[in-house]
Amino acid sequence: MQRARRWALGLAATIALLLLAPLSQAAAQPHSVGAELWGQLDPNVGLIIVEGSTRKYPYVDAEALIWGGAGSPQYGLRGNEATFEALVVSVKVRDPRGISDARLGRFILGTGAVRAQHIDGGHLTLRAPSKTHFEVFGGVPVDGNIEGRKYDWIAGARVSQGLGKIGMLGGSYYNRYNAGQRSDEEVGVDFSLRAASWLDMAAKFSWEIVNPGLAEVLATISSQTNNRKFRGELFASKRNPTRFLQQTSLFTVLGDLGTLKTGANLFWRAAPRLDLTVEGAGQQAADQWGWTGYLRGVLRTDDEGKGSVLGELRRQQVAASRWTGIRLASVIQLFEDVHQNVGLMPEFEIVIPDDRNSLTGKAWPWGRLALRYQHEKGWSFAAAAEASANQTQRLDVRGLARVSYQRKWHGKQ
Amino acid sequence: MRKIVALTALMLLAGSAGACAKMLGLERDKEDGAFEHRAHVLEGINCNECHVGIQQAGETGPMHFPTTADCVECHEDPHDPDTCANCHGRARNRHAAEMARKHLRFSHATHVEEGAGDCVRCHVNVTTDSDYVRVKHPTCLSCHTHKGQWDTRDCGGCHVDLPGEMTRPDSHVVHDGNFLREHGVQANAQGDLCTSCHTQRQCAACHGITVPTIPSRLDFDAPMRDTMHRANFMSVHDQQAAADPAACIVCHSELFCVDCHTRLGISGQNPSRGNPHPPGWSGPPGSGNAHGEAARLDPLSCASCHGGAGEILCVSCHQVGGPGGNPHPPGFNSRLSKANDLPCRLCHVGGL
Repeated sequence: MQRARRWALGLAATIALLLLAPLSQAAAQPHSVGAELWGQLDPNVGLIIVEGSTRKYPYVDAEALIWGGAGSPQYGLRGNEATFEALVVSVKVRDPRGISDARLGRFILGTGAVRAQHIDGGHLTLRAPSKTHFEVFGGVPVDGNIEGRKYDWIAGARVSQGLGKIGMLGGSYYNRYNAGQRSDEEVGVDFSLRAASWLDMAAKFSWEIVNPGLAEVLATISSQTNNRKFRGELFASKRNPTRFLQQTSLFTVLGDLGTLKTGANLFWRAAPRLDLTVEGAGQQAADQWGWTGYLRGVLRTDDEGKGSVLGELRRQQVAASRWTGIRLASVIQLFEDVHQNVGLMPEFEIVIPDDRNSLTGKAWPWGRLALRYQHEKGWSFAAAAEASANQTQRLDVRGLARVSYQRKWHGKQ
Repeated sequence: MRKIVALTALMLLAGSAGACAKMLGLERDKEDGAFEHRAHVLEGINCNECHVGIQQAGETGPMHFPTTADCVECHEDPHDPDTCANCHGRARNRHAAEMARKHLRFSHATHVEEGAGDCVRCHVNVTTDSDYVRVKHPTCLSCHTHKGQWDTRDCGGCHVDLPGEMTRPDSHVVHDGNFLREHGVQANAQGDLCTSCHTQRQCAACHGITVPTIPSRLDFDAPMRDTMHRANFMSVHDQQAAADPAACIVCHSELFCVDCHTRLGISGQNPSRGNPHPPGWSGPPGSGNAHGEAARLDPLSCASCHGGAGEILCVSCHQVGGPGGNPHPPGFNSRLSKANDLPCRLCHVGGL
């Protein structure tokens, strides 16, 4: 009972904070609405995206992302069957001073070192002037439309502290239940620091409590020259897949070796319009060490990078994954003035697996040609044709299209 | 003859090098048209002499670009009858300034002490040959008021429409390096900063649990963008899953694989495709039993088909007194309750 009273008091305090913030800040901010339709033929799927925001008091952002499919066996839709599914339907309310914000609905929750969640619920953030941030979240995890265990509920929190102007340290926790039992309970620490203009680092670490053990650790440290001509990075990650399974799964009792990856990459701005990147990493999977790496070059065809050409060579040799890939892509500005532009985007990739046979084919090529028109009034049209061959299909051809519009206007000053 | 060939080759080489230098941006066109701010500064001309009234300018209103009439007040004998701004000053930078007027809540009047004319303090680029004079973000954050706004993510205090600005925040929010790998850590630590520009759409494209909305398909007109499922990911997805199964399960349920494969008829449940396991996969004790070692090396692969209700297949052999024996590895330890928790209860009936 006392706990319920405390929650009610907390909620009342938050609402009061929202209502008491001054009105003047947002006077000149705009309102906006936007819509986007995206569709693909074979498989026949599409997305409807609707977004709106207002910067009167308080700031409100609403968005919906609805997926639809029809006659696509890949999604279990035979004949003329069609289905729609809401991926996101959420409203976010924020006071203009940034002291608090709240999101309600169906959304992706990414907070702290614990894994991102897709939930129907709410997320509340409070920010103190001391750079201490408090977050609480809860709801019902969204389940895939597949056979498996369904979750009952999820709840968690995060507290973080800003480290002067240079970093942030946070701790987070969540607890997820299914069939009345603890399915996951994870605690994590996240850290990011920009110690100097040339040195930054970030790390996250999460620990599964129900079946005690490391779930995931990821750390990077990078350094760059002041003119940003060179940038080097060291990274390492370790993930244990069974810690990501629902801990009510029998497979969690087997334990697992996890996957470890560590390596480095180097970026070099070889010329004002030419960027080169090389990355190499050792990777352990299924108790074997392998390696993966790539070399990439991007040449901008103008000073602003509106047009560019990309070439990439990639090699992976880890456990059963052994292949070489070559990728070429380009963005070509066909027409441009201050109001509108038209661009052409050809893209090609070929993957050559080490294990070649007549059943799977010797190489898997893929290509796409896209055309886009954008107008400053908020309209954008794009269409593409794509063709590929892979292990299961000799020739797979499909079309893609997208239309989007965004309108903004200012309310009374 | 040789001299002619050598000379031609040398000229071709020089021409190619010149073309290459231009292509790589090593050599800039002089006629690029940047306005000669620096030359005016060196002449000691005060900014207000050309940008008349800028110090009183509020958040809205006209731009304060000099007109041809302003120029000819000093340049009494212009070399061309055309409008000066047609050649002097880049159109795109003028457009950028107009966009800043549209997208920023900024008042020169509140930032400049009347008559001080100390514009260079913020517009440092006027001392170089560039005519892109927009103020860098760190310059704004050097002021106490804006530092506070940054701490509380009050971007709207200055930015009227941050996503609409379409400006990449290079100067204060780093998207360098392998941002695909790093974005999780950054978003975890400062997710509210990400949401200043990005909407749920970007998150749901990968982390949505129910249906696939692959980013490389949604943004098919952005081939330079690095995404997790690039280009023809379908052809290598099985190999990627073998190399790093945990990377898949961060976003997808372990049953995501069998769900799609069953629908497409690419699974052991399709009689025409037969048993997906090799010979010697499982059998009575003493026979070839490769499945045990494989399951320990990669239990997720097993779970991807046999998870959920399929687990009962394992328990039919691996139970107390069953032919499969103890499935736990040496030193196995768990805080789960044998009597109450689900994975234990499948075998340890009644907590035995």
